[in-house]
Amino acid sequence: MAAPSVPREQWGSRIGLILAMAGNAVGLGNFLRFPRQAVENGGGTFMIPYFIAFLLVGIPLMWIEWGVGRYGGERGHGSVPGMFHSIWRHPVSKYLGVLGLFMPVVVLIYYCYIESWTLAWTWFSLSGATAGLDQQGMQQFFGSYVNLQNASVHGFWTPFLFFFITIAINFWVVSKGLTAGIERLAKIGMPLLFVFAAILVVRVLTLGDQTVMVDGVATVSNPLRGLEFMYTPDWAKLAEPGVWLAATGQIFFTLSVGMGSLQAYASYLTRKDDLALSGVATAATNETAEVVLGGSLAIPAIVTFFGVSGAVAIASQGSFDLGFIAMPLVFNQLPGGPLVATAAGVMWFGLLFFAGITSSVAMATPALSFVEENFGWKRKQTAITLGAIALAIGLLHIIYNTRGFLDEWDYWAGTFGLVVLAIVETILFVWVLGPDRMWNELHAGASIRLPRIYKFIMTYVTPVFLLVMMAWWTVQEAIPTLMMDGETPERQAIRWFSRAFLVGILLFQLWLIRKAWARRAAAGKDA
Amino acid sequence: MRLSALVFMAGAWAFVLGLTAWSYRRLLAPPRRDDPPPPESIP
Repeated sequence: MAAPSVPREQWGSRIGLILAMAGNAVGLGNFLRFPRQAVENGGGTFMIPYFIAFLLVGIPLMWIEWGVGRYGGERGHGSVPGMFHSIWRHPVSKYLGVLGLFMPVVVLIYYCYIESWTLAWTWFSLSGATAGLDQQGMQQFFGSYVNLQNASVHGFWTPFLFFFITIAINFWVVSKGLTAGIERLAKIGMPLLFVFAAILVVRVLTLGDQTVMVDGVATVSNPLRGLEFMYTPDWAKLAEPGVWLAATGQIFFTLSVGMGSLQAYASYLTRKDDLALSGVATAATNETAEVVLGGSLAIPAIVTFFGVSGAVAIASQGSFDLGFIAMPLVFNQLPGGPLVATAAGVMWFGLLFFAGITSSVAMATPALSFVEENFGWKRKQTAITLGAIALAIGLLHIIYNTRGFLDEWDYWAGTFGLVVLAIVETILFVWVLGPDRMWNELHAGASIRLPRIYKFIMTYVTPVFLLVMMAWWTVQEAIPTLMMDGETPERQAIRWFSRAFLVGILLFQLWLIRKAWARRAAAGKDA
Repeated sequence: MRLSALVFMAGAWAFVLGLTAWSYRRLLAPPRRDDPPPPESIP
């Protein structure tokens, strides 16, 4: 094994590592995407494919990514190109690893924009900007913000200001390094997130009966009806392949696998660290946040005050309507007046902000490690440069958000690309390294024995599951997205611009990898 | 609340909370002195 030329940082504590890893996984999707997916895909029966995908794809990929990360980190690589090169000594392998740089950078930029909304709405909740607004008023308020229009309490420049603040906080945290920045943020942000979520869950579930108008008729609704709506099984849905794909997709997004960020965090582990148990603890923490807390907040609260049909109408508008329009409306109706509404709003958007930032700092880590390790830059210098780039490119998202610019990035990098990286890393870690060596790698430092069936699952079942998923997505979504079916000429033009930008980023990163390896060869490093 | 919905909710909660409790209990337990045997030696 080629030892790293410069000693790498290490995690300060085991609990810090778990919280940082769980923070990476717990994101906005746990609270906004999961409840909507469950409702749309069979309610209670959605949990069957969801947990099967968790056991056959989620947990195995979690272990594979921790294994790939530690394997590469022990050889001095904190990003996927070097990790792949460590596993497969072929000139192509490092270029395949570009996916582990491309996806986190691309997703980071637009994710920070969405994250900045949560910061903005925390402020709006505190300042009372959304207090007293009805549904139409709340929709107009949200629309004016994302469409860069002036409103009574914000100007067209406000989204730019909050985006700047969000980027500044993110890159300030990562500039502090692993233990003083990322680990400290996780130790503060994750407990706060769970406390805020737990308080809101208790408040929502104890709301009791409320009289709501449904189609002009006064009806009694309550949180239990919301839970019933969310968990009532629809057995016919189990026969739909799309439901299984939706469940697998949700597992992918929620665990942040296929991104490159888990591997970057795992690269700071040593041979004595326990991948097997830490991987399970990370996944379990994320699932608690998603199923127990995320599943008990938005839908039960919205059903209580809008009835089932109202919740269906809101959910059909999208996850953001659920979080940024319906939830503030719920808070305005909570017993206790404006003070309670303000506190609930601050906790809701505060927890979303912590969920977001603990994920976005993880996405920044692979690119930072890559530049530091291969070009000798200092962390602060790298963080400022990458932050400035993210800020500049992010402006395009703010300006063109509603015209398809963000959708293009979200699909190719934030959805399809995840499965591609997952397939490549699974083949490399399990098949190129070999199932026996992979199994031993996962057990180095482990305090538990993984069930032996998982060796079979990771060798055969997970790769097949992923290949089927990619084939299905290619036919169902990738080709129509590529052809821009149903898009207006104006949106097509912006999507082409967005797509060209993505290709430009990919080519630039491939060039950087080439330069990096040329430098390594010149320096006599293990290129 | 319908029984079927309650069963699915209870099952989902029990699974994730059980897995979380088990993993944290193991994580917080004092480390064992003896290194575990190599995985291939487990029958």
